[in-house]
Amino acid sequence: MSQLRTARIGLLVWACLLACRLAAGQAVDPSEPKWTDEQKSHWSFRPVLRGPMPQVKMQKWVKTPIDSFVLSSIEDAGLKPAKEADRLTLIRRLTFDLTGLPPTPEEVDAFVADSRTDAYERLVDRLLASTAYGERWARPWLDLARFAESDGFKSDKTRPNAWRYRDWVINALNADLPYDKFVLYQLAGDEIAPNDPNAFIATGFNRGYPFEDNNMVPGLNQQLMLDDLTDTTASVFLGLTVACARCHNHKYDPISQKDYYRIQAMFGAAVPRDDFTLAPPFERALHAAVEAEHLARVGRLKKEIDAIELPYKSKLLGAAMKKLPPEVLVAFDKNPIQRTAAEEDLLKKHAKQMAVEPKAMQAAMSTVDRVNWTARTSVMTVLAKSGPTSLDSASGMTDVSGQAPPVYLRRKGNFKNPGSVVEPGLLSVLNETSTTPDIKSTPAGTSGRRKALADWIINPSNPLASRVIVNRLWHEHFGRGIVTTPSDFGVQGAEPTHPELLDWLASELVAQGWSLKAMHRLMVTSAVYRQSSNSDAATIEQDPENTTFARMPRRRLEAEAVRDNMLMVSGRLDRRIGGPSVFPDLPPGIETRGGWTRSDNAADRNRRSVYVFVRRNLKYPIFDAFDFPDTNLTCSERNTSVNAPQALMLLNSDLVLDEARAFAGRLYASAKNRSDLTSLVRDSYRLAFGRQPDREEIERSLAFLRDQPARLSGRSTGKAASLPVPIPDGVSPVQAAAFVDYCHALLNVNEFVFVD
Amino acid sequence: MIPHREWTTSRRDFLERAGLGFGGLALATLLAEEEARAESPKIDPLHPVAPRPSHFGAKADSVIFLFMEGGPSHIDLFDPKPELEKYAGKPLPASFGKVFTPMGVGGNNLLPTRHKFKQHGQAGTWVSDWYPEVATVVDDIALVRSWWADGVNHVGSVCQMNTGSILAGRPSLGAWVTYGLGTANQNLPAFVVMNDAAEPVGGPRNWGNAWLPATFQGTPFRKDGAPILYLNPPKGISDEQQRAKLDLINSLDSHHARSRSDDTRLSARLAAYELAYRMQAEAPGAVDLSQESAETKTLYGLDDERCKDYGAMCLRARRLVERGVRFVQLYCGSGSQWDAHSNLEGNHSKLCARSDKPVAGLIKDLKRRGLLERTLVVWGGEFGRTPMTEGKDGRDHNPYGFSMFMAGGGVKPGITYGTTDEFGLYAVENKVHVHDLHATILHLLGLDHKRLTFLRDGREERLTVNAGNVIKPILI
Repeated sequence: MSQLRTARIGLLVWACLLACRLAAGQAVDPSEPKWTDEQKSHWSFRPVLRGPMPQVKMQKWVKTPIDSFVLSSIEDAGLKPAKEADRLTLIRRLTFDLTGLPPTPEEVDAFVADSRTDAYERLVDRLLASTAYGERWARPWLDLARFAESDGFKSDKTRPNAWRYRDWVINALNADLPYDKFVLYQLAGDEIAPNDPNAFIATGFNRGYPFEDNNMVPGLNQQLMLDDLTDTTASVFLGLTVACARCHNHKYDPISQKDYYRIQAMFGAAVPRDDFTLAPPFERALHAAVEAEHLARVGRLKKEIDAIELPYKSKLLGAAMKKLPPEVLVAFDKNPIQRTAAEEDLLKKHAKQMAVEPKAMQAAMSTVDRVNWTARTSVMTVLAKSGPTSLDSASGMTDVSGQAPPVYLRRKGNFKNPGSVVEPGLLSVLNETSTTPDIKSTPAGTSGRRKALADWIINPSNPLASRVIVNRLWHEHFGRGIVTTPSDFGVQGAEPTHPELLDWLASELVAQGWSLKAMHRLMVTSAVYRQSSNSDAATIEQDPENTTFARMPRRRLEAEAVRDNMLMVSGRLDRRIGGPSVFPDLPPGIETRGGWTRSDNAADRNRRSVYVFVRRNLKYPIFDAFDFPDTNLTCSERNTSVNAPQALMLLNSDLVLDEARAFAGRLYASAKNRSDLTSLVRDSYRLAFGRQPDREEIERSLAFLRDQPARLSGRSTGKAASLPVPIPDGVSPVQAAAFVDYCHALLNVNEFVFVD
Repeated sequence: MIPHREWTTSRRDFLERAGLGFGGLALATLLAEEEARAESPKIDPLHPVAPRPSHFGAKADSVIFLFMEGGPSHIDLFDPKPELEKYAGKPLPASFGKVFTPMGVGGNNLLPTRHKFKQHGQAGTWVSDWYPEVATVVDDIALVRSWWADGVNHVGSVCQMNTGSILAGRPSLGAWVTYGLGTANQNLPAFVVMNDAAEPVGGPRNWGNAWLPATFQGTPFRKDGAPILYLNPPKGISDEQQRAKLDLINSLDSHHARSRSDDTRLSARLAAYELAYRMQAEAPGAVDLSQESAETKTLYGLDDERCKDYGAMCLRARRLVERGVRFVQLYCGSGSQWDAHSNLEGNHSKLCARSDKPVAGLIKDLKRRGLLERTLVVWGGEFGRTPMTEGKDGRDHNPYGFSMFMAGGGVKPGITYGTTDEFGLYAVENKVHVHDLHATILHLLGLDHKRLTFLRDGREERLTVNAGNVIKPILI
């Protein structure tokens, strides 16, 4: 980041601090500022403008419109684009990028040998059509959606149906659901298609908020939910950091405090719903009948039990009441709603004395009554546990009714200091004539507010939605966004390095019917994307941060891909798609507090990482080490740290060692000659990196395989724990264990976690 | 207010162009805060936790945070309230209005302490008979009895004490410190966490990095066996074997990097493997107490069944700090054990006995080794407890007024600062918030809490969110 920008942002920070202090004295709702022309014309609020392609010198280099825009800035800087990467690099880059997995050796061979002029485009199309595409690209969206399968806070309760939303995202991406629909369903699926289970599941986006079931402050949870929905929605779909305006008029972005609560009021009727039944009508009817029968039996039995208990209960209670102080009896006799708080407390205090102990009641019973009572209560115990199992259901959001309860402006953002009621509305800076959208309550009994919000967001006249999403795709493909702050397109955020390109992409997205796959295709078929990640020293010196995109950045694999890559290479990856999340092994000594019961089935434990259970209070260790985000807040950009705990994890964990053993076993199993070390080394490279080792690599590998057995022979190598899986015939245990070490080393090298 | 620096035309231009419309007063405040310019630390990718310069001269190099989880009762330990005797069995005077507490004890009767308070040391600091050993080190501590916090229940309050916010999702204090300063010893983790019992409420995010790079998260040390998860190779793998494997990785990586020399991350990863290897060698020794004398062990209470576990943690903390570890957090009663909603006597007797000798021993030991001067020790829970009774013999949560103490690292020794009301419910004089604690800890480490920032979604985030003042009166 430039010095100037650092300084400027610093200035902004303390001005925000100042605003908070000034707001601390706030006794009235702030008046709404009038936006200046300059504020209204902030770059991201201007209409998307599809300009002409710039003129470039290296015409031949240009493969897509993207290339003209990027090349023009490269040429302006007096630089040259990097040369095209080789085929092996391209297929590895593309396959990891589009599917989160490495290419198989066969896929590499096929692509390298494909001499058709459109071989590359064919590869792109094949990868975009694979289901692995959705599994890979769901993850950045789930980061944005602060997706988790537990509540967080202290109890961190499981959300048993949260996975359905994860599957919805995967399926929507695989089906190339147009982005405008993608947004509409997630914000208001229940409003536009009330009977469609998938539309309801899509609203799981808004169920991602953390929830404290132990929150004792009345009404606070509702406010926390509304704040989360407001902040997350603005951040994800509009690229605006609105949270500042929760306490005061935003000091930099033209967002008033009232604007904040207008948007919040668009969620004013929202309530979580967990009982959306997914079963088909026949199954539902059957279930209802069985349940009714069950309830009737329980009811009959309860009546019988009550009848036996009644005389004893009234007798015992009568005796107990006589001992109570008179003021308790006065309180007891009152209609509950007329009781004072003190009387309620009094009753609470004496609750024990006013209850009948089951033991005392049994003791008082006649023999006949006791026999009857005991028989019936034991049947009841069994019956209570034997009702029909509940039908599959989904969790999502809907409205409490067509009428929303009032939403208040919270002075200083303080929940305990409500100001005036705020009507639902949109951001004033983008809706000058009227902030009030057209809201119609729906026949489904919802308020229509969220649908109106979604309609406004995805209306092509709204310049933010399309710019924000194409920038997010660019950010993922090219390592940095055209706007480097993907969730902040406001004054505090970065300005686009290539504004004309950003606008061209935004308009192209709409022109392509909001097809995300079309945008992926456009980006990855560009000459920009096909550049090598190596560049000449002069270019690197002149543009160290690669703001011109005159080379491709080398990518450190994300947490999920690090694990999936190992499972793929070891041959153990289970490719089943969708369904409830799985629980791979945790290392011993990790506290789970009941929140992590290992999946019984070994194949389940080897599912793709996107299917690993996401618990807010317990991140899966290898994900944690490799920068899996905190799921309490929306995340638009992951870190890519490099640190010692990652090294310890890859070197010493059973997870990685087990993959090394399977990798070694796989190589032995397919080897023609198990003592031909050179061939084994070649095969290992082919599986691990999709390529042949060079002479030096072979030499270093062979030296290791030659010397390592001697280092092992001192200890017992008969231990299965250090041998390949399956154990190969005809290889000495020492040699086999040394080969496991070799495979383990390959899973640790840079080439395994960095993609050129 | 007088500007620290000249107000440049360009900056004024900038403000005007941005149409911020500040009044004169606002501008003056802005100017006074000129020095608070955001400035992210520069992280060397090859050595992400290498020591980094502080903003100004640091008084402390390391922090040991003794976290009494669950909320110890300040009224029974450090903050005597004779008025409680007078009002025993009566509710708070009507002037207090309605008091909100999680278990609804606002209207309950007041419960005087059963413990004898005495003034101790030259400073005359009040400590109850529940903490006889801590009472012997009061001349080294600054007791602050006027803290307040935002949360009313454990998970939010523990979260705030660690991250500044009652809502999860922000980096922890130790992560911020590591991000800001790195650490002196490259062979040990910079930020170490130990629990004496169950996991603290809220789990690992209490020492998490949130949106800071994962490098800066706390490393939990385990009580038994290898202190760090995955520190040692799986059983049966010899050092020679492991070293050969590392050499192979190193050799293949160097070969791979030859044509990619511009990418520092590749060399950073090589360095990380070497660090991991060194950590393997150094970490076990750092927590090995067999090298300590019998006298030292006794000082920490290792011969006392009631406190030997926490004593061992405190002694390990000293050994870590001695070796340059930046930030150590030791939970006492982890999993909310100090939470005495009932049977205060039984609960606190046990936990005071568990912490008294180890805490006092730690301060004495640091002092005699000359380490206390550069080590900041912090003692406290996420909140205190109510003067009102809960049930017949418990106390509810009290975030409105409670006590914590600090020692060493630039803190004024032998003082008592701030007061609560006559019952110990609300902090009334020299009130200080958790944000002020964080600002003060950073200050002692040489960091300005307004300048230690991280850019996230276009916003320069900081530990103290939008608040926090350094508590200057308690500093040397």
